[in-house]
Amino acid sequence: MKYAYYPGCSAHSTARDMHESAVAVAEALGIDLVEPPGWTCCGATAAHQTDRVLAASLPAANLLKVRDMGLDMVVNCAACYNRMKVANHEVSTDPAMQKLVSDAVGGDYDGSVKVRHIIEVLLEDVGLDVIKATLKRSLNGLQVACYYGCLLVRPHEVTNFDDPENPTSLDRLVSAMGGVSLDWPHKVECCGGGLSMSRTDVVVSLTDAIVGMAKAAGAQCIAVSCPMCQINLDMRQLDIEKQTGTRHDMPVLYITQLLGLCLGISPDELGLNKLMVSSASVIERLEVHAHD
Amino acid sequence: MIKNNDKKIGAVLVQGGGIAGVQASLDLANSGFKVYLVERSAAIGGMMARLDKTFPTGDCATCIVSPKLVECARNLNIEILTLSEMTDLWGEPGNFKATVKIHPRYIDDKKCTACGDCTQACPANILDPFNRNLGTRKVVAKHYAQAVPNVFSILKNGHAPCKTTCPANINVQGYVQLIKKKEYLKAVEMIRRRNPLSAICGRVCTHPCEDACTRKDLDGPVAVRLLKRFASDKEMEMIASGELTLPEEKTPAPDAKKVAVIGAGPAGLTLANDLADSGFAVTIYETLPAAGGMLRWGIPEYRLPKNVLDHEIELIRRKGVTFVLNCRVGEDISIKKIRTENDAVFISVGVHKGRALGVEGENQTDVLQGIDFLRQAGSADNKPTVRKKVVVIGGGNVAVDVARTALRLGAEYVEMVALEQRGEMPAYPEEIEATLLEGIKIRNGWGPRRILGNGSVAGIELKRCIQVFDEEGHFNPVYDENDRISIGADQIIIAIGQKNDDSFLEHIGARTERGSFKADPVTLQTSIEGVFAGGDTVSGPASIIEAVAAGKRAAESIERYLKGQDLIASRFEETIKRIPEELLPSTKGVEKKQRAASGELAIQKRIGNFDEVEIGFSEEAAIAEAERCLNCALCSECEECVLACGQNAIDHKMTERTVELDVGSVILAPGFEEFDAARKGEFGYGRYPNVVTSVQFERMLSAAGPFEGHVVRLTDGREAKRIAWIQCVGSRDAACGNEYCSSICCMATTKQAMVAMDHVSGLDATIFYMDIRAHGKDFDQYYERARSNDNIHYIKSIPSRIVQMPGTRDLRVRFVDESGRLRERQFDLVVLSVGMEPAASVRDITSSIGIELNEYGFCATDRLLPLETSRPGVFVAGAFQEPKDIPETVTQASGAASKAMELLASARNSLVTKKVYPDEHDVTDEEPRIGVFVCHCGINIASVVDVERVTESVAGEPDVVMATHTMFTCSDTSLSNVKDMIREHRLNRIVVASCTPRTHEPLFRETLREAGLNQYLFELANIRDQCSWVHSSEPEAATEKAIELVKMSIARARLLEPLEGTSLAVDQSALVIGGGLSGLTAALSLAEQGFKVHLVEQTSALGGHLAEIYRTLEHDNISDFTADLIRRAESHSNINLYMEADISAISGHIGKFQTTLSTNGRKTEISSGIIIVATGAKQAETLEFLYGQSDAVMTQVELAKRLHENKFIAKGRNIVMIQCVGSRNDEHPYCSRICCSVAVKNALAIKQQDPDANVFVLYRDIRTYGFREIYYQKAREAGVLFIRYDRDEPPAVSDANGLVVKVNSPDFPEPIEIEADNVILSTGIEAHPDNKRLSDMLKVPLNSDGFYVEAHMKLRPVDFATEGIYLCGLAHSPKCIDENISQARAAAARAATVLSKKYLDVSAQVSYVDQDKCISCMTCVTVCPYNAPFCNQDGKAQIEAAKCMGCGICASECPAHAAQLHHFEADQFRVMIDKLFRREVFNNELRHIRT
Repeated sequence: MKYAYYPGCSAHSTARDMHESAVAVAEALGIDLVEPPGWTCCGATAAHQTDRVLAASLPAANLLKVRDMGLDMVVNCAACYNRMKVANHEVSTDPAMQKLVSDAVGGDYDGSVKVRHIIEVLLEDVGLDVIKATLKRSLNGLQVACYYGCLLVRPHEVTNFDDPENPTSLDRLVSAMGGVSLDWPHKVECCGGGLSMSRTDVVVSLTDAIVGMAKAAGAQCIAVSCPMCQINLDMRQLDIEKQTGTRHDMPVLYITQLLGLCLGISPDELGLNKLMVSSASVIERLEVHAHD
Repeated sequence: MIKNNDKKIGAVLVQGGGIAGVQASLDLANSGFKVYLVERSAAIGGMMARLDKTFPTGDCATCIVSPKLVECARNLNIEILTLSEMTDLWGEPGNFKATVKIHPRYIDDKKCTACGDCTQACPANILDPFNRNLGTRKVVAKHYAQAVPNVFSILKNGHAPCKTTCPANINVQGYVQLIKKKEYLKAVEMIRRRNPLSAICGRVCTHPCEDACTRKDLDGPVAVRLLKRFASDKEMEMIASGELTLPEEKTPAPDAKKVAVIGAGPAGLTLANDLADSGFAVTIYETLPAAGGMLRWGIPEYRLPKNVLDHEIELIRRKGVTFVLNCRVGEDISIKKIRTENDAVFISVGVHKGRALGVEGENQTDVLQGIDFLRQAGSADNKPTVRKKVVVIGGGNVAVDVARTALRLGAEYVEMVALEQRGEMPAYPEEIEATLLEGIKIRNGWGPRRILGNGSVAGIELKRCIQVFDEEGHFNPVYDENDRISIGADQIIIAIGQKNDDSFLEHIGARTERGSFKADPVTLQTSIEGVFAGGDTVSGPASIIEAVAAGKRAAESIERYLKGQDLIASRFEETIKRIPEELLPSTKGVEKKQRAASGELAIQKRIGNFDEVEIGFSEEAAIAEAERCLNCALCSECEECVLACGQNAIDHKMTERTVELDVGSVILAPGFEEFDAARKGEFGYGRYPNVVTSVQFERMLSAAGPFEGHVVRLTDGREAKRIAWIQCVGSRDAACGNEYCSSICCMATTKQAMVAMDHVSGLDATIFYMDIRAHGKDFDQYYERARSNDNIHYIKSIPSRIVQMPGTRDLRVRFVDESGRLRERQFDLVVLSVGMEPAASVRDITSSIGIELNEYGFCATDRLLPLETSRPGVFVAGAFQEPKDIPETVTQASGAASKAMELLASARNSLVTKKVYPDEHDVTDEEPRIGVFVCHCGINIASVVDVERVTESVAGEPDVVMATHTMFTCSDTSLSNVKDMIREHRLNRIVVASCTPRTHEPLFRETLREAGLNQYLFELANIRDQCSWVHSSEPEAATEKAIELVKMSIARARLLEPLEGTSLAVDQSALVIGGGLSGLTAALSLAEQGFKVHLVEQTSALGGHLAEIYRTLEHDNISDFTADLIRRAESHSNINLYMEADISAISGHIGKFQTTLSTNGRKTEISSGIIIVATGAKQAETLEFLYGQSDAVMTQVELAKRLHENKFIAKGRNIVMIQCVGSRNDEHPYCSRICCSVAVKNALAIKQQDPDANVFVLYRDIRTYGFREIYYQKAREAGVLFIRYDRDEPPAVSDANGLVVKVNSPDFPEPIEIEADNVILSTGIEAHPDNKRLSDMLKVPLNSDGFYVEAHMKLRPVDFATEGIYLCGLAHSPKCIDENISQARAAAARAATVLSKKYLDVSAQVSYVDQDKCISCMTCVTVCPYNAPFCNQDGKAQIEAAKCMGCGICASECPAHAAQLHHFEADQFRVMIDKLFRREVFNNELRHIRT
């Protein structure tokens, strides 16, 4: 299983943990990830608010590189994933756009490179049976609220990822790891993503609602797959406490971190030391798998 | 225009058995046409049968629809075809051939007596589709309680995945259901039909069925294997305890054909079993000393105890199978001898040779083959010697068996070495788990390089296996030769696969392929005539169940071969087709239930012995596990119903069939389906159990529904106190492709809230809506009543999301309130008011018969031709044409019937049948001779009421000549018995004690008529509903009560008298009052049907309001349409026109009305059989908003005229339209229905003229219902501004400095002032002022708004309570042109049911007045709702029988007891009461009463 792996900027900065855990998990499961040489910014957050052609061209430039590699493109960051998908959608459904973009990127791009989120690769290509058979530890009944945010599932006709209102991809992974995935109502609730810096007050109230709901549903941790969600849910818990006096103490882990733990990878290799809310309670809970 | 000719067929096919289809069928059948009523489901009744109450009258929907359904079923000229659909239509109008596909009911509707015994016997509960999956039903059941036809049906879905996946196709679902019913022996019997090795497979089957289980991904598959084991163990237990004896030993007949089987493994045993069952003489030759093959010699006893194996082999032996053991074919007996002594041979020798590793050191002692090791271990003595440290090579099931056996035989350390990683190992995960638990080490990812040691084993050297399977998934290991380890061992056992014994293959001489026998994949024939082969020897090592399947397959082939039949055609396997994925039950919302666990022998107890490790289910666990089955196939074909049915009515082998029908016309009324609410994911339907659809809520409210009328939350059964309704789910929503309005939902919700108020005390109801569309007759008044209720809150907002709160599972609804703020409120239950969509199935019908659909999939029609499809001769009615409510549906149905009547007028009465009865036997001078028949109703009555005792107890009652009891009195045979008894005993009164007269009285009355007795000499005692059902827990008291009821009925029967109805000559001409659109349409329809019509118009012009209308919303040209209509009416030879005519008097009754007209002072008398009132209404006038004071203020009608005449220049103007002028207020509390559409039409016309003109529409609710909504949308897109105002704050118009309109809208923070160039007033419709005078003459009522009141708002929308008078058009209520056309035609169709008859039957069950007793108080005249009593020339009351409806009100009100109702006479009831209170009535007194 070989893929072109587009890390995006977060992977090398604010979401190092996302990147490290993804790479470690991929290695453990025999997934070969190759970074496209000379990949560039996908334009998330800024470009699509500025210029439609630019917003499609930035991802297209990267997709064009991957097309030449003859591989599917795997993306981990939900924002990058969304931008890549949007670019593919625009280019393949609008001939005028295709022309504009092709001119901009200096190559004829038709939207044909398959863009996959790493969750899709885990579920569709590796498969739960193989994952289960490879696990070294179990989540041991850990109650996990899987949080998908908006970028993976919306707009559905573009991303075509799972069910836009009640996605279950992460939940299936959590169940396979021996965790209890909670059916809770805020799986795709807005976390305030783009307003993280400009309107912290809005983000605090939105994330408070999400983390609070997860807690009410009995969650012992939240599993995410998007670096924006992770930052907002993890980092803002301190602000929530300051503003509302409520201390949630809710660990927010990337799904690849949880999976990495179950595959027997050390917490440090998975970047768990980079989380704001300690994941110690999660790590303690893990059980050595009976097989080992 | 299609010319009538004699070739037309007087029959009509009506597709759809909802209220539309039912009404159309009744109208057609009652006016001389044969009808085929074709319905897709198992019963007619459609959506209406699902509803609780109807709006705005609050009638029980079922109660009002049921009589219509029963009437359909009873009508001789309506043939109901259920579970059917039209699939093709050829020919031309008047002469079609229709193909109808009829799906199997699996129950013979002629034999079924609807006793319900099958339902009681059925073990399978499935979600009830009738209740929209709230609650469950049995697979065999009646569609719903009041279903017509009153026959049960079985729901099937094909074959369940467990059955289709099983190589032997065992009916898994079937035996799981039987286990649930504790029918263990039946379960085993069902398993053995496809697999004689039930107990064995219950232990060691690889259970592919479980991998296919629909439940697998929800909470684990049903534990099928363990259930099989449980049932089989029960059988063995019963044999052990002596409760059950082994079957008799059989011997084959001396002349039976002979079959030899070589090899007594599972394939051979199965084949022997089947062929012995079929009467063949089977001999099995087996090399080893006992039968069983790998079952005995390959599977260790801790997994499959020998006694289990012996038991099932013994059962096969007892069928007459001969075993020849210790006999190696080829050595002890030659194949030639076997072939000559037998008629066919089956080879199933299995693969018993282990594969070698082919590495260095393999030939040392203590290097064993696993298969040899296990065979030795399986023998009673001569167990193999096991060394201390054993290494087993292999990762499959044999390797695991070897390792675990070695441990049990005393090895101190056992290690398995497998090439595969853990997840890739071919052994079953549960086996691997057990192996690890027992302390065996598994070394994954290593392959043997060489075996160490010098003659005796010292260890083994391993090399790293880096890949086991290649890219294509083939076994093709790749090693890293440099990565090696060595491990010490005393013994190496190799278990890497088995193969055939080559010498045996050679000996037989059949063709082989890669070391196996080559056999035909379908028939298992080998290359040698008469020799078949199957099992591992053909397939290579496979599972037991695959061997069983091979045995079954070969048995079928050999039987066919020996009987000289075709080996290939229609084999069993072909009948097994898997259910399509989309029909499998959804696991969404299914509550998770853990798979039941079986016990295991403790680890420490396993060493050193071969005790069975797995402990089977307890009975409790087994039943709980069986209950987890989702019944994927719906019916499991367990056949419990077949056993339960006393009528032999059930036939699981019924198949689909097709009929061809000759019809002259077709009416499509397939109805609608509700929108799939799950498509609006934000509301969580299907995810949050407390979110239900409006249809589900109807079932919830219904007393006959799954919760018996309790409004509860699905999560905890708690009463729902806070309920929210969300409107427009799937309507007015471009996002889901349904831009149209579903028309009924606002009222349906309002009604649901009102009804729920009665069900839940203190209910807090909130309705989220866009516009409230209460546009029907009396709807707005109902809505205002709801709105004024303090506990019903209307919020103009559509929520964006529903969130289910953790813990409480309350629903938090998020919405933006009227002030624009985001809000959230919590509810116990949310009802999604789902819109209408055409049924998906309809598309198939319409595309095959060539009917055009509109863009939403509804039937494409034209506003001016609302009943016509794109194919001539095919008409449409109901919601399939456009979303509509019940009265409009019924109206349209009658309208469509009139279209068919016009087309087929020449063939009227050509295909109808009238039953001929024998002459009635005169009983007037006879003493009563009563026959009593007490019905068991299967076990329905007899399981509670002691039917024999009832019979004995009543046999001695006075005048009872005979009394008997029967299993099903209503069955065909019983009914002929009743007729025989009538003749034999000269019976002249019949009493049946059975179920309910509602369904069965007509049937028994019919029987009396067929036997030459008057039908009124029948009496029914309801001892089912009133005894066995309501007192089911008190059989003694129920029996006593039954005896009393029957005695009472006998007492009444003694006084029953024969009654004869009279008949009445019909004047076959019509009087139509009113020459507007409705009157013209009705008159033309009747005239086209060949009836004479007198059309009376008050003014000097025909056409009425049409003169002021130029275009429809859809832009049809009305002026041309009107001109054509008038021309046709004026020139029609059957129409007599009376212009400027005034009606001065009307008298008479149905069949013969006399009407006096004066035209220009000249009086005319008109005689007619019926009257149609089509007097129209008038445009409301106003003096508000400066109307009449400013030329710039005008009505919509005036605007339309100017627009039409190009006199209205819109350019650059500000035009303000004000809706509801003088409507929906205290003065005119009703909605005029048309004004919103008119405003939209005129606004669009203005915008078309000048897109820059500003049009403002000030409205309260925009009521562009149905497809009119599209134009509302277009108007908004064109830039028309719609501004809402409240009733309490109407807009104000001032003209100080030019026109200014001021409005304070709840949707805007500040009041708005608009400088208007024109103000257009939507003034609405008022009742005609002359209605009062005419209604007095007709003696029909008006409502408070001055419109005529129909007989029944829902189901008799164009009838008056007085028979023979019909109503249509604006005289009924405001409505649009297409609706008026439908209604006018409906009136014509209803009229035709009378006019088509020369004579009308007048019921015998009518009132009469004893002239001697009458005191001339005229109370009866006052109280009768039908004007039947009148004051005769003697000054006494007399009943006009033609008008009497037999309600009995006069009889109960008459102070002198002079008015009596035939068949319900006071004395007949008195004797019943006397009987009940044991008051003896002396015979002579009785005599007195009778005379």
